[in-house]
Amino acid sequence: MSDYSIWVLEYAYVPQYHMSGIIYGAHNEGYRKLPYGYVVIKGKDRVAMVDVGFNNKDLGGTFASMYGVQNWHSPREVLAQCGVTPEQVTDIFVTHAHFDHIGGTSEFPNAKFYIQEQELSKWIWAMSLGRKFSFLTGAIDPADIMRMVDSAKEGRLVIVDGDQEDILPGIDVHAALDSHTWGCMYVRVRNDGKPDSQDSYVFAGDLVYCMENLRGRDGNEGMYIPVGLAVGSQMNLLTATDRMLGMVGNDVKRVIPVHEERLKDLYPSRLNKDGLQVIEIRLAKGEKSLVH
Amino acid sequence: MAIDHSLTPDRLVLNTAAAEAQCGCEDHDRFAGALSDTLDDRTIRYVLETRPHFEDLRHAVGQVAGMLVLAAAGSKTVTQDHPLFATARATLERVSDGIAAAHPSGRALHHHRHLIAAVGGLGLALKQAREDLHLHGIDRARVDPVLRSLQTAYQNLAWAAQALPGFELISFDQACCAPQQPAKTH
Repeated sequence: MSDYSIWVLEYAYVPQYHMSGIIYGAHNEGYRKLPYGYVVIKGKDRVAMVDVGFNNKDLGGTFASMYGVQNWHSPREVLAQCGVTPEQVTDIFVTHAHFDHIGGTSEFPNAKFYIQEQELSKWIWAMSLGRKFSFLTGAIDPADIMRMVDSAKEGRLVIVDGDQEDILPGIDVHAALDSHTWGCMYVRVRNDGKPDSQDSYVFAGDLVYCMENLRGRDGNEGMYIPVGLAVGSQMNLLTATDRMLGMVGNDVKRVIPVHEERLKDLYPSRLNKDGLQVIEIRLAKGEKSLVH
Repeated sequence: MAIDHSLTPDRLVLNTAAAEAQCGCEDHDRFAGALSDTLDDRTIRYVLETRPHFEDLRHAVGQVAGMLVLAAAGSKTVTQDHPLFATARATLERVSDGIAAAHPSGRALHHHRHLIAAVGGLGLALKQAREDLHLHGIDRARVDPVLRSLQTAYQNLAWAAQALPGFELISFDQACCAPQQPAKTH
């Protein structure tokens, strides 16, 4: 029996995203749709999320016009599909501080936020390196960081240092340091609540964009391929991939990349009235399906 | 000095956070919608001259913002004598001189005004940090004045970014999910 219901909710997408951004080295291979989504984990009297998307009010117009991000819908609209309001969200795991993952925090006035200490401290350090090293700092918006100050003052910011088991019942967070960013975090849900869970899912943030990162490509099946961007090392991305897969018995289907368009084919899903995917990873007992 | 005429609107972020807020300057919207079309050589020279200072300011504001988050979250390592505050102060000093020495064209006056205000905001934030972030633990409420000054600095950077092309508060092309910018043609 599942402890938590879990959905991946698409809130926007880029219709044509270049392949080399998704798969390291896939140059001149055309484009693929890139969904933007977040994860909702509901059960045990809590509503948790993995990431919160970007702040469309401040950034959306620029973002959309420059890069073709389309069909953005607010957390209030998107979460309503599973009967949740932003005010009801209790816990948010911020996988990393890029603006398209952390930018929407102000929409969740009651949530507690979890972020890795190194994601902040090493970014601050990288800022001190000066503009020649701007590649290391450019995708983090200082405004998003300032917004976190209020959460911190209210005691709603939890600075996590490394791995932490049972951060919520049956939910663990793990650090992938110096990988995609300085302090990436991924989330494991042990949906049977057992320490040696046989029913785990891992939510990978941007450590993985697509299935090819996990299982290789034609001719190289079984070989991990990193995503196209890292401020840390590719090796750390691959070792994180190996560790995530090890947590789910090497079942690639259980490592969830929200940017994978084909996720909708791996799990029950439907297209909502706004043209966005609703993907149902698991349903807890008594929970109504959003896709059937 | 060679003028880089590769600055074109399609390669530039004109606007970032707090875009909806108006700065209140009389010339706020004067060149809106045709930013690059209206650039003369003197303005372009000013852009090239001040772009590094803008970037340094962004870095310093980000640094202090990050320190404030850690302080407000209860970190005991963030105190008034933290070396990164000293780094931010050194940056501010250097940038202040550079911005004061810049020669804004008429077209760039609006931008320059906001850069100066951003310097002022950051300077005040750092002064308050020195006074309020004490060595032994932090009263979270004392973060507020520092934060307000820092927000002022950031807001002015955002307005400056709107006033002229070539100034970005975020590098969209480095975001994990943002398509990369096309390579420059030579």
